[in-house]
Amino acid sequence: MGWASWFNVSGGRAALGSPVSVIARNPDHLDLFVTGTDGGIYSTWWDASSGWASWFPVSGGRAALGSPITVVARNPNHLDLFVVGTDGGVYSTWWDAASGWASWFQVSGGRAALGSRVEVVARNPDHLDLFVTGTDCGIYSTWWDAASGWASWFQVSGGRAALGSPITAIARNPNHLDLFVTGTDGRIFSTWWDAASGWASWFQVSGGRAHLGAPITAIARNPNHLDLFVTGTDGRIYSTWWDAASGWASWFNVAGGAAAPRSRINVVARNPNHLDLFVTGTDGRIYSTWWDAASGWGTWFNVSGGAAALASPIDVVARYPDHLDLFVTGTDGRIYSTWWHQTEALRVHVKILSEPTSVTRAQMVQSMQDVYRTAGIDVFVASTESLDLPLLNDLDVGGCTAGSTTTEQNQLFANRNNAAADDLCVYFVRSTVPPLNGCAAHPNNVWAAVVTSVASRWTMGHESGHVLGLPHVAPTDRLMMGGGTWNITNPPPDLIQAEMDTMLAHPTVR
Amino acid sequence: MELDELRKALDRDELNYPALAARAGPESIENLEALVAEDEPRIASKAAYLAALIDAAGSARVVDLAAQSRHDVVRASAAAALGSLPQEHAAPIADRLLTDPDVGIRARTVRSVASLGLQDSLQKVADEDDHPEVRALAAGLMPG
Repeated sequence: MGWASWFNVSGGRAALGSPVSVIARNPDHLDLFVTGTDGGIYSTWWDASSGWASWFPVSGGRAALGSPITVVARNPNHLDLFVVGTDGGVYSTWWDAASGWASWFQVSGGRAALGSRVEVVARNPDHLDLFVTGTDCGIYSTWWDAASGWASWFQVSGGRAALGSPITAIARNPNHLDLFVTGTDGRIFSTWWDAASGWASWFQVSGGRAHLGAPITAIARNPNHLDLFVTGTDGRIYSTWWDAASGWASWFNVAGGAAAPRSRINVVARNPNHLDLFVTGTDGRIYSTWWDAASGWGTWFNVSGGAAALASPIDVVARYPDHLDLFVTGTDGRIYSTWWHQTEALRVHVKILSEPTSVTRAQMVQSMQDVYRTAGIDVFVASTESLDLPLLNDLDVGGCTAGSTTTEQNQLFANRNNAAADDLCVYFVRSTVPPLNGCAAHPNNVWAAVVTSVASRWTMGHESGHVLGLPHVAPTDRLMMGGGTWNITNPPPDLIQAEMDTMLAHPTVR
Repeated sequence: MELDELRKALDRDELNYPALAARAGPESIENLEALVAEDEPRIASKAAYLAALIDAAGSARVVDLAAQSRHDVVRASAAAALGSLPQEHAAPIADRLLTDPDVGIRARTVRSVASLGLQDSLQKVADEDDHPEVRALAAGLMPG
């Protein structure tokens, strides 16, 4: 599994801690929204066909520095945006593929504290529900329906929260809403709306508490299950869940995680049995952990060295089940992104008769990992073993032709300690007879290659490429160039798509 | 073949030596000797092996130069190349390599010596080599 390095998105900047909102209208398109350093509301987009666009102001909209922009796609060709403007009014605009961006308008006279988050959910493509903590600390809602337009704001079951508290809303199905908020006494409350019964009363969720204004993150992995996340009053990251069969569980600390008070925990479900969490930790580094139905919670890890101001939210979207995109305002106020893409793995067992003298073994492994990663293949050195076999250290490889091996090769390749049948063994020998940099000839279904002490940093990947089915090519900037990998131009060398496809189809890659 | 042409041909990860020997021909021996003398082990080891495959008067001289290299990988190549030289040219080089401090080089020389039919040398190794695996290898390669 591979994380990319963080990169600045089209030169974008925002105040420290500013949330960056992202939405994927379709799997090959992202739209980003942020309040810029001048208070203007800005957007950019990424499309698989064209890459990142430049930032542009959205219809002249403005908000207080750091204000969150909420976005929803009722359909793949339409976006609705919501923000609390500089005058405290709740404003909206929309983009439609047919007509472009509309002007901002105030939503039914609604008002909220500057910087408040306007929560929105589209239960169906022709309906929006909005939620906000009003200027009187009441929790308010309104809705838009394609048939009737915008309704008036109303207070939700008498609910109240500290000024500016974010309301979390989720639609487990088109006729049901669940709301979550930290109440005025720091208790975590929920209510629900159902098309059949209307709004229920607020109730405390399993005794949970948080700092006033702390955001509650909710996700529905399936229509009968909710997972909640919050930074508790002790700075630890807590979760609970609700299941239709068993009701609410007790809160528990997620893998020892901690964050600054009121930190938003961002979560995404790439599939119904997997959650990925993201948060800025107490040391300002960006952390992630995961939950999988098969293995439970993982340990927190720093995402590609990323850092942000304390409590900075990390927005995340899964365009595909095997792909995540992350966005954050970094410690220098620049807007950064990284991505994770699930990769295939090639397990390599290193067998050492002689260490390389031309470059180090570590350089060879790293170089192979760098090139193979471009094909979506993570090279794991599963084991390393020294072999005291002096009579095979200058190995007779005959003509080094595919499918033909010598007695000495067969003797050497019989040493496969720790290796499964579909693992690759790479043997580091002093030399071959005749003298080569490496040789990939191996018996049928015994995945093995030889690398000699005079090999280049690319030879290990080159010979392994032969094992994976790749032939020599002429271009000198390719890993499989037949003219000698010492002479590769424009390193790191390339793999073309057809080569990647061949490698990915090999039984050792899984 | 010119020196740079030879160097480029030898600087591949995998080589077809018989084809390259046919292409290079006896006129390349002096350039191969120069490549061995250049002291770049990845080229020198290949140059020595290629020289032995070329039937030329200077082939043994190139292999002998490699057999005296400070680089064990070059001496290992010379040990393997011996098997392609005429017996009378290979024997004195083999005598030197059979006393090499590197066990792998002595083992590779034993295999070449066996292929050349140098029975006395083989018997001596089987009787006297310091390393039991080399003695066993030589004994196993003795005829009969």
